[in-house]
Amino acid sequence: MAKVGLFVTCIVNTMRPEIGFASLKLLEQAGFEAEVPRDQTCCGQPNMNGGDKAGAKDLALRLAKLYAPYDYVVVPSGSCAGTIRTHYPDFFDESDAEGERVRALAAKTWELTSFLTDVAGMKEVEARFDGALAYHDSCAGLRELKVKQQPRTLLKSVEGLELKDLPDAEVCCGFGGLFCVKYPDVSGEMVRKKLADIEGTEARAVAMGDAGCMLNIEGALARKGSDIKVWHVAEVLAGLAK
Amino acid sequence: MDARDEILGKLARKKHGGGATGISGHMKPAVAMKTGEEMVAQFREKAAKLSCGLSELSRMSEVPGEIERVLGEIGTMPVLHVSDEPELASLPWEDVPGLRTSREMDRDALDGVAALSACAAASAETGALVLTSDADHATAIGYLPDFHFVLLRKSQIVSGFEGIWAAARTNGGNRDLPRAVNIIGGPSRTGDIEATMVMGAHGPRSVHILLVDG
Amino acid sequence: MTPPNDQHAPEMHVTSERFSENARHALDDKVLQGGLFIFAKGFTALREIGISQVPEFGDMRDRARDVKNHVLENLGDYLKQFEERVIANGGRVHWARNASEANEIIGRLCAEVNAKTVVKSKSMVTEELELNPHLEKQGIEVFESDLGEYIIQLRKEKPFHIVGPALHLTKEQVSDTFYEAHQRYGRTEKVTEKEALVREARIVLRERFKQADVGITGANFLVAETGSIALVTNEGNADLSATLPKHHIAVTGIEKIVPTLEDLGLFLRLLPRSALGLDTANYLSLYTGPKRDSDPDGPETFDIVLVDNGRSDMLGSEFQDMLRCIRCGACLNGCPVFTSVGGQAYGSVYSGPMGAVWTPALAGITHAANLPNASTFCGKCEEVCPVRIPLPNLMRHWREREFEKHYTPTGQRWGMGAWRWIAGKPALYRLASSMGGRVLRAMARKGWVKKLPGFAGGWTEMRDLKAPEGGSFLEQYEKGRRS
Ligand code: SF4
Repeated sequence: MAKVGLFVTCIVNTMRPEIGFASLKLLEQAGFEAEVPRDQTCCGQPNMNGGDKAGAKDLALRLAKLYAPYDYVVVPSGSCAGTIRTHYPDFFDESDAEGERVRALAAKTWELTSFLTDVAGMKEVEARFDGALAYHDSCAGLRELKVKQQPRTLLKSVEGLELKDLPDAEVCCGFGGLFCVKYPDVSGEMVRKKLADIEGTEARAVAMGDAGCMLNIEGALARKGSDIKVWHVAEVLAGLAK
Repeated sequence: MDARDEILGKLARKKHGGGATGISGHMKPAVAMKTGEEMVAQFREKAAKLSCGLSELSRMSEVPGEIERVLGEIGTMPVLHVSDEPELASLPWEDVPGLRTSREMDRDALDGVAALSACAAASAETGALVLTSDADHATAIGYLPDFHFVLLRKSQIVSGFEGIWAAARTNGGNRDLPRAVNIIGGPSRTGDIEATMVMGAHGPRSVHILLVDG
Repeated sequence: MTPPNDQHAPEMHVTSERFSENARHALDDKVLQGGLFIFAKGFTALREIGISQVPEFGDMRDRARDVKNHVLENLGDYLKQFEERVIANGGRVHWARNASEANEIIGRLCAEVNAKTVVKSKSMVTEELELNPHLEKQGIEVFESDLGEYIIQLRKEKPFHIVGPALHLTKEQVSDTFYEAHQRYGRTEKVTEKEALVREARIVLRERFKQADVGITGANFLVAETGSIALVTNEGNADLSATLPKHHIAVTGIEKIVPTLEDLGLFLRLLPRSALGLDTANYLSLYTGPKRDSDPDGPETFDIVLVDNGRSDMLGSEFQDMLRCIRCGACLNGCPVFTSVGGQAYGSVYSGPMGAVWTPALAGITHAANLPNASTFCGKCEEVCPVRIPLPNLMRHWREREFEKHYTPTGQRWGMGAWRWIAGKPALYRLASSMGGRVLRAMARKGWVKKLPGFAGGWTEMRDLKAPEGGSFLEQYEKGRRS
């Protein structure tokens, strides 16, 4: 049986561990034996986007070594999966032997919902969610990995769930890593628009595929006193969302 | 070192891969490949989309009467400035005694008037008219008048940009192209105030095509 | 990119240091926010409808990228071919290494013909050069003729958007501006409606066109095989500028070359669709040389000023892809940062994603570091760019330059160093993440943190932070939890 290494990402590890456990449950449902190497740390995305290319390169090599024993690497985050899959190979010249391992890692790395549908062939999940749910397309998953239909296909199979069309679902929520603390006003305006769109759907909850966007959207909703819930798509699909 | 040599020298030093990336072939979208009646039909539709007026006539001799009729609807233009193209001079202007024609083409004469010119081609891809400068055609006629009538023969319609370039090159005489090749897509307009389209920015507020068989 | 003491180094003045401050003003400006809404929703929708009617659009974008790459690899050869054709057709070509040199050339050409007034059509390059103040110092009156550009010239502002320079203003603001400026032409009645405002500008500018000694235009494209310049407008002002005055000067960047007319057709298919979803712009014009002997009208001289101003430095660097840009504005209209704060906040002639890459190249990363940093890398710009410029990657490269040169703010630089160090030590990483969670839990009231200290305070300015429940994932996983 193919072995899956789950990479839980920093935000999931520290802020939202439930997403990690939901991912394990889904991988098991899909028929895979999955484990999390205890020495996993960061993929280096903050360094890459902050201009520290050497730092990002180091962490890429480290991750490639750590996940070498697995057939697949699955990540419950479009932006971390995108970093590994689409950006890592650019860190090394084609001729660079060091890059070989990293290219191999990139080729076997998948965002969770696209792994479940495109690789594992999953068409439905065993889960229940009562009520209307909107889905927001987190940018990196959407544009770097073409994650669009995969989460929707699976969400539609959740019992009791009514999937709402979110207007401008593809427009950025304003998280952007360091962006949201460096440019709080601009980020605040972007998330304000996102909340207005979410509220307009009258869904009782919104789901998405990146924990960064979640923290941003749920934090802004809380500040506003809204009771709309924010879930990671894995939590909904694993039946952990209430 | 002078600027030219320095810039070109720098570009030559930076020329990488020996400039080997070739580009060959050409790409034409389906919208620019219509022929025959289909092409004419698409031209009509696209020209209307560009807010051009269009009169279909079967003979050249109908042109003066039709212009008189259209100007009559507008109501205020007793003089028509007619460009020097030979096919315009030979039209039966005597049939419309109520419409005075003028051959004056200087900037003050053309400012804000009604004018008629011929054209070099028209494109079914976009509905635009192609006007080229030469001894018989002042470029300003497409810009200074308020009402611009353009005589177009059906056989002048081409399917797309490729046809426009061919027509323009033919009119270029012994040079690469005529001085001016103006591809005019309907009346002048601007969206610069609150993104609302307003007709008649700097050029004509009306472009009317007289499409004649043949 | 260029040694700092190079007298021909690129030049452009910016106020991008004040991005955050300007952005805040923009966000408080209700009128501006209304205008931005049109961009974000209207222009993006128009583009989508427009391109949906051309199934080959994606292939055309690939080809446009390839043609531009080919040109960039052979730029010197194509420029020489272009120059040779311009001269053969009776025109002249001038080369300028940077802004001062370009301004000096244009000033000299105007002085040679004793020019008193110049009429201009919209040209981003001349904005970049700050040509108008240069000519005005020489005692020449300069009139912008593109309506939007004319309005911001009267108001002494920088363009709001490369395609719609005045779209941040209301008709009331335009009305006030015209009322004040047009008194000198004896127009004492205040007009307020859009149609009337357009008419008034047309009447005032028509006289300027007729009187001007020199017409200055940009060029959207230069055609190497024919020595022609191509101009794309909706108003017709560029054509009047290129036809009525006795002298025509076209000012343009060296990267605007396309090899043949066939290639030009490709770009003319992409540009209006990407900008506004249109099949075509109102006026697509080619000008080749001055008036011929038998022509009834046209300028007696035809001069082309080819401006480098930093472009040759970008060639062969990690920013080369940017030189493919055809200034369609699609990346601005799609950008969630641009459509939140507008063009003025960028403090540069070039705003939005394309401006975030161009501006540091022309003004230096020290002055413009905010622009490539003020991006979430959402990728919408790259998705819509007709020549497939990887804009987020190019912004990322600027952040790398900034980091290499130690311009990155100290706190952030230190933070990234510490992060990389911790991420290399898994035991420490596990400990730090468990501790982090505990600290947040301690700071929270009813599960939510309302205020964070220091740098992280930017987060709680706008939103709360939900504290994590239970231990970190790795902590719980180690204890045997599996689902
Ligand atoms: S970068 Fe691309 S999308 Fe932006 S203005 Fe240039 S060509 Fe248009």
